[in-house]
Amino acid sequence: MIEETILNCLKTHQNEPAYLTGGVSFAYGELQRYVGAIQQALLRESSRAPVMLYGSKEIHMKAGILACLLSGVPYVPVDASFPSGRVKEMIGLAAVSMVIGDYDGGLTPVLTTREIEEAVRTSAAPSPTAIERSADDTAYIIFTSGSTGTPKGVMVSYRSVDSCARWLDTLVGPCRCVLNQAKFSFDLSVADLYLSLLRGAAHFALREDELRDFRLLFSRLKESGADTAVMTPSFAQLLLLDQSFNADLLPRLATILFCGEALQPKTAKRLMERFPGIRILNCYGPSEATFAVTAAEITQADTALPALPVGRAKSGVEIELACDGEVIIIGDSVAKGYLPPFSSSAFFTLRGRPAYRSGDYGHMKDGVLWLSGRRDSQIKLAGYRIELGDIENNLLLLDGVAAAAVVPKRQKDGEVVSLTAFVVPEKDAPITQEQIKKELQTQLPAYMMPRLKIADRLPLNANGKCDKMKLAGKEI
Amino acid sequence: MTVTRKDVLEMLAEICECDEILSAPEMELLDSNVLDSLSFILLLNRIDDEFGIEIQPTQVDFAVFKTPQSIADHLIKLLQTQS
Repeated sequence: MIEETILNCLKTHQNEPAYLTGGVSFAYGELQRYVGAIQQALLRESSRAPVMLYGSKEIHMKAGILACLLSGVPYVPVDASFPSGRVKEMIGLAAVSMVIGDYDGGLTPVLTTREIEEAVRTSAAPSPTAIERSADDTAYIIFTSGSTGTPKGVMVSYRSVDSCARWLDTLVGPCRCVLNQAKFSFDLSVADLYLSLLRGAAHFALREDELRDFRLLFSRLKESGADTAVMTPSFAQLLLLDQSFNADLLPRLATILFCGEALQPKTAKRLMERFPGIRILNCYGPSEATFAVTAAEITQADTALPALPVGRAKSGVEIELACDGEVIIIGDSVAKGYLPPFSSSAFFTLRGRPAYRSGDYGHMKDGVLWLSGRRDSQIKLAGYRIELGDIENNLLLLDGVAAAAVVPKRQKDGEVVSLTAFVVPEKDAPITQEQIKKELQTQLPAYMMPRLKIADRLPLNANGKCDKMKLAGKEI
Repeated sequence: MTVTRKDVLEMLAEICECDEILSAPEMELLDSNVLDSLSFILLLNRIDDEFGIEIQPTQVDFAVFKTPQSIADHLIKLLQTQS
């Protein structure tokens, strides 16, 4: 169970580095005090209602996750860069009873970082303990893009978390320092989080400001000495731009775990050239199945193929294909469902086990899964999952917008490089491009902001629907 | 090979799909996400293809990528020292 893993890790590695971010290092003993202080506050609220963890890579995010997992309190990780409108919506949708972090936008009670620091410094915070819970209880709620414009909350149970942790442990094996790139609000981060706990390894988290400044970023990478890294393929592409991203910079780097979007063969090939002997794990899975359910160890020969396999199903999970090729995920990793108002009709029971229709198309060969596309208008941009309808519906909510269509621009290999929104303003009360941008920014995270184009009208196809093929053609 | 400020701005406007770059070369590119990580990759690839300059991001002060103007200045200077 994840609680045993956490408590064991905190106890046995007291003086070893636990969490490093922005040049600050916390030993497991220190982390334990933060976890204890936050758990004390959680237990004061006896409700076990979901708690929002608000911030980016600060210590209260890491300690907050552990404290919630130990206390049977579902946590909702939300990045501080998200616009206030969306955060407020998430608080309402998840019925959040308390926010941990420096959030000042509402009526919900807040445990600030200052209060946490004070509790850690002054009081003798009790040692963390594990509170009883059942396997079906919700461990965390992750918000993803919903096609209606409302964020979609996925409820993941302790059963799924435990199953995921067991799998990661055998998949990756021993590690001393795990590099984190993803925000905690992006469930790719559960991989580096659990991996570090399973082995009492250091968790080295890159901050957003470090991801943009190459000199700072590369000095952090060097400083990390990481032997294991979890990242999106887009981030690897960015790092590969610089020749010094190689085994001299990260001499111990032995494994990179990829998930979140398609890994291109050329990216894998270049990594193998820069890091001789590196193990590249290409994983696949939606948030609805606890971040990942398949993994493939990419070989040199694979990199000559037009696309890479995503591998075999993890233990506790079976993959089946529907007659049209849609990937069906069955077993322990399948989430409990969505928070209302979303229908959980994609979740069902198959042979007595939970199952989820992923919306991804694929084919199997000798037990290995290969992906080939999507059923709907969900896309991946730099690893982020985005429903085009989410952007369109938020545009339509703006006063002065008559019609809107969002079209992805793709490279030859199918990878989406940008999104363009074609907006038709109302004739009577038109809205300007600047106004649209300004207002949309209060609803959508930066990674979802499309390029804007004002149009007189949207082209229609034979069915009277917006002809997106035509719009896409206009773009390129 | 010579490169003008106009060449660089036009290339940037095309990559970032932002015509504002042409009229406001002092606009902020990074915090506004106009030059996001994917357009950054495209930009460095284009600079390599069109001007034969392979930019190593760690060898450049990141402030260079803050505005279209500063990118143009940097590229023009690089090409002058090369020739």
